[in-house]
Amino acid sequence: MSADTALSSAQQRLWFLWQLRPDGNEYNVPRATRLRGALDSDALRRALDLLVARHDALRATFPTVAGAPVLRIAAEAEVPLPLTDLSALPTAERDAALDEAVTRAALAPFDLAHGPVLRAELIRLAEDDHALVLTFHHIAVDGWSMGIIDRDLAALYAATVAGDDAPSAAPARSYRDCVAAEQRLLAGPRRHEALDHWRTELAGAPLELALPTDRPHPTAPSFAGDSRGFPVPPELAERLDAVAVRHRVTRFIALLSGYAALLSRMTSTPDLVIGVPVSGRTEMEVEGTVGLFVNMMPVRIRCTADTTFGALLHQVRDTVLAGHEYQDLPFQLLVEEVQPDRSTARHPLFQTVVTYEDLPTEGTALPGLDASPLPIPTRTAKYELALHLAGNRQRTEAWVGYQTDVFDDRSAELIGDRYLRLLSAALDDPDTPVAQLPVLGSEEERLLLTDWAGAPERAAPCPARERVDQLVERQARAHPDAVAVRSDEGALSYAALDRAADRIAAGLRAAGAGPGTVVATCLPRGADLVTAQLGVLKSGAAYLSLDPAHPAPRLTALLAEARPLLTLTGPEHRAGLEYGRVETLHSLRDAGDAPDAPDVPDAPDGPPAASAGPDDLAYVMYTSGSTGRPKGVLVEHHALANLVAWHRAEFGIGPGDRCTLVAAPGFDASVWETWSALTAGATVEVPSAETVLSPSELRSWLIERGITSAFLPTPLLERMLQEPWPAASALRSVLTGGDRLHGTGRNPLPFRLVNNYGPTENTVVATSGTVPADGGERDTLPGIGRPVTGTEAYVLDAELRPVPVGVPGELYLGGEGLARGYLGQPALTADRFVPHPFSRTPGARLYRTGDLVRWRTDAGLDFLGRNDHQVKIRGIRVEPGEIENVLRAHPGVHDAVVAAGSPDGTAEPELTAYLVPADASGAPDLAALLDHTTRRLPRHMHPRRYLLLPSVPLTANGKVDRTALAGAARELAPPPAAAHRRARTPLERLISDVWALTLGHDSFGTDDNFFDAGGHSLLLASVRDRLTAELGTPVRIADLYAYPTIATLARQLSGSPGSTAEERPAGRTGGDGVAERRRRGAARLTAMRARTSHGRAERQ
Amino acid sequence: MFEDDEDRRYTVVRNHEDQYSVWPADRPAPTGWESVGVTGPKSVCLSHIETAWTDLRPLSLRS
Repeated sequence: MSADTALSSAQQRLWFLWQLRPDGNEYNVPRATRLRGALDSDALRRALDLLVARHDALRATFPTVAGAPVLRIAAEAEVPLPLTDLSALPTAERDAALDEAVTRAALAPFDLAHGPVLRAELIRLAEDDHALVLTFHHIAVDGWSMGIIDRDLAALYAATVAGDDAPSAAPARSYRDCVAAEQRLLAGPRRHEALDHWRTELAGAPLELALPTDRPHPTAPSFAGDSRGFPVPPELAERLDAVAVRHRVTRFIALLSGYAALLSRMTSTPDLVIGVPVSGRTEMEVEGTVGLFVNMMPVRIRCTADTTFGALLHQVRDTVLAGHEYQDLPFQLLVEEVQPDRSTARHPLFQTVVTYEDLPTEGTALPGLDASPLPIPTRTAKYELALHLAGNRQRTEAWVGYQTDVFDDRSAELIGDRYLRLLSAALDDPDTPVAQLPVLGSEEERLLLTDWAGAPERAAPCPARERVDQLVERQARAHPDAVAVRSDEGALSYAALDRAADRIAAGLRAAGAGPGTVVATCLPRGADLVTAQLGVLKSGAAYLSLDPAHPAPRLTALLAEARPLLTLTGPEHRAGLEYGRVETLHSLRDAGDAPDAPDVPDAPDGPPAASAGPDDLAYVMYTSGSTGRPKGVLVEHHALANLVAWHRAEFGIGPGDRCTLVAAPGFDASVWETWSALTAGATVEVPSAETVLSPSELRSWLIERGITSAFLPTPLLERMLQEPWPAASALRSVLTGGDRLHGTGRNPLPFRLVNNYGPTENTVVATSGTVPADGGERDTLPGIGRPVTGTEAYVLDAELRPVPVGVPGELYLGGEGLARGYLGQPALTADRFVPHPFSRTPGARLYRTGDLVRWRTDAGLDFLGRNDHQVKIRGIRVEPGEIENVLRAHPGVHDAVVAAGSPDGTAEPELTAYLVPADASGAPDLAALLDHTTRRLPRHMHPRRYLLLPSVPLTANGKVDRTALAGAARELAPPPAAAHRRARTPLERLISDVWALTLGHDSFGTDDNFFDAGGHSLLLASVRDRLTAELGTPVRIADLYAYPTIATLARQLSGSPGSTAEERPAGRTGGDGVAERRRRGAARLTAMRARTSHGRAERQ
Repeated sequence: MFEDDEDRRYTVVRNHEDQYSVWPADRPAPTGWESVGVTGPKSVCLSHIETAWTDLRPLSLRS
């Protein structure tokens, strides 16, 4: 009779969840009722026993037999009814004790293996005043069951009190029979029919909704939850019913449609899946059966920009109706079919639900007693976000349930407000497109567009500021002997810097420089670079800073694009520059000094002939361009002056401070470092290239040099934070940016850490914020701060409307920092710099960054990613389009697509090139292709892998289908391991092992370049340290740079003379001659002195 | 800006500094921006700007 059977599908799921969290209580179904009047507790006990006798699901336990759970139903069971007597307590204490007792009873976990699945507890407050707490595990009941239990318990109590023990008719079907029926159904054709429906319904649906959470999702949710009720005005409920009737939908469909519309706006997605409960009771016979029948049904809703609310009502109704046809397919089976390989971090298929229940018009009660429900605190939530609704003709109740892992109460409150606002507007005019319904309140919107944006309501004119070169001159007069620039090569005083720059300015003016002209500098970090750039500004011209470490053809291309008056460089870089007039500092200074030099109207130390105004250009900075053409960003003096004014005020920099120059000359962080220090009278300290490449050496250098303010690109900083920082350093502030910052690390920091973000188009820095020490906030990535002084920041949707706090939108920037535009590219400028719809200054512009951000509740911004294909490789902004254009220029390539991705999801992203060969029958030669890219692109833009495609896959509307790239591609080269020469000598093997350890893979041969094998400069220090430890002799990073293959490095380390010149390895640099290889090795070494290869173009 | 809708029509606008940009044709341009009378798909508007905007300097700087 009571043989064990299988569990129902729904029970299996809850049993599994209980196994995962046996102490959890999120599946408790508690009910607490205050009973006033004369209670017959013996009759209640008897009624409970009869209730359990009547409903087999309430006698169930779920022991494990042979490794699997079974449904075991006891022939009979008693329900203990322990009594807690609080009647002796004073009233005030009694109420608190009641709350505590109810909470304890309601939230205690269940033991499903041993049972029971129902607990009852009676709390006595007075002779005629009791509280009854019934707590079920969801595995035994659902919402419908609770109605049956209420009715049955009342009837059984009444019968018992009346002395009438005759049991009323048993339910038509036991739960066990229902389980058997389900199994028969699922064994038949119905299962496939239903699965087909759901597979089609959910094909391509986004199964993880980008909810605007306050915190990232923990890997294991705690299910801790809370809820916030919000009032639904009766007039809104009336309009709701009227619109529902007019559109022939139910009240629930209308409420659900409103929620879907809100979610589509709050997640910026037109395609979403919401869960709704369905009764699961599809037959009349189960009407009176207690047990778990309820099923969760995914409702997929498409809500594109032009979908009207009226159309949405019909779509949701049809979808829900169709789903009801197949509601008997258990959710668990559906998950296994649709999303088998899911993580447990988020709920499968959907993460938010809408529930609706009819409020009973009158309460159910035990006869002779006055019953009222007692509140039970919500401490758990099954779903990240839930909209719970309950209503009848008289009133509607609503509350937002949420998981506290990811949402704050304030956000839940705002969601309730926005739901009512949007729903109310939708009901007013159901023909309104959902994209145009209001979400923000007017006060919320005003705040976002003024205080938060950094745009005061009454625009104050920006103070007139001196140019940076004028400010440096002031410092030179005030502190002539103070050190302006210090490097390994020596120290340069302010007076000497100013004099040298004046001479360069004079030489430049003689050559025709003045406001509006551009002079290029192609010099490594150091005193010469600073002097040259100051000289250019003093002449009235703008400087274009080029990195001599970049390939000569690229430098030539940039020069041809910018067409500067001339290029200032050092003797060692002169040979590579094949465009226009090239001067060294010496040759120019000599020209400026020559007493009989013609056309030099000023004495070397005199004032400039024509000085630049605030709107004249200060510098041109190239960034990667999506059209394949690098973009020369034109920055004016007022913008640069605004940056340094903000910097000096914010960080209190002044004479005596020692600040770094770490960023490479081609990146605009160098602008920030140089001018914010020099205009303040501080010393610019220049670490050597070797130092910058090693996090530990750089840290020692920072401490030994007594640096007070440092700029460190994010990845470099994060490596440096892994070791504890000595408390006794002079360092006051560390500025970082360029990539996503993860936190302050495990160790306490004896300085202020500031995270910064900014595109070159907004003069280096747009937003900035001090990073709180880790542990202050739970699992939260540091934000990018607030807009800096003079800069306005707006987070807007596709219709250029402000989006609510927490909702992703595109970042638009305005104010003093805006660049003029892109050199020689008016259409691109017009496309990116758009009319400012919120400004009080007529004709103002906004720069659209293409970056996705969101407001945090603390008025700061979170960086979320790009809204196009731009990527960051080791923190440097890269447009795949630029690489694609270089690849398409190769004769063997017909078309190319470059994509970035992390092979294992955690590592830094790397670039993959997908190539369509020019000759369909053959592939381009890999060695020639590598040579082609190496000559034209800087290292960080080299694809790591090359794959072949027969053609570029396109989406339905003719765009590149990036999701289909990998599927159709095959490797251009044979798998590297097979093609590569393996290590032969013990030394080669040792180096090979160190590489493998550092790179995390071993698919390289002894002739492969470290950088082509996935290495980058930040890994060199680790290779150096490991080799030094293994060999017992010091290895220099410079050697690793100069000898980037295992074979050449082994020869160098073993000291075999001249061997590099004799052998020509058949490696990936195939086409190159030995001389060329050596030249490039030497160039790279020179380049090292010139740059940090991870200097950042932009903060992020 | 307004990129989801490829059918959207834009108009070429210009401000007092002779800077150019584009704005949806069905909306009033923000204060200080005036239409130059060219309307069409974004690409058409940008092509016009590529030839019309010959000097990126703000007007006040060109004298």
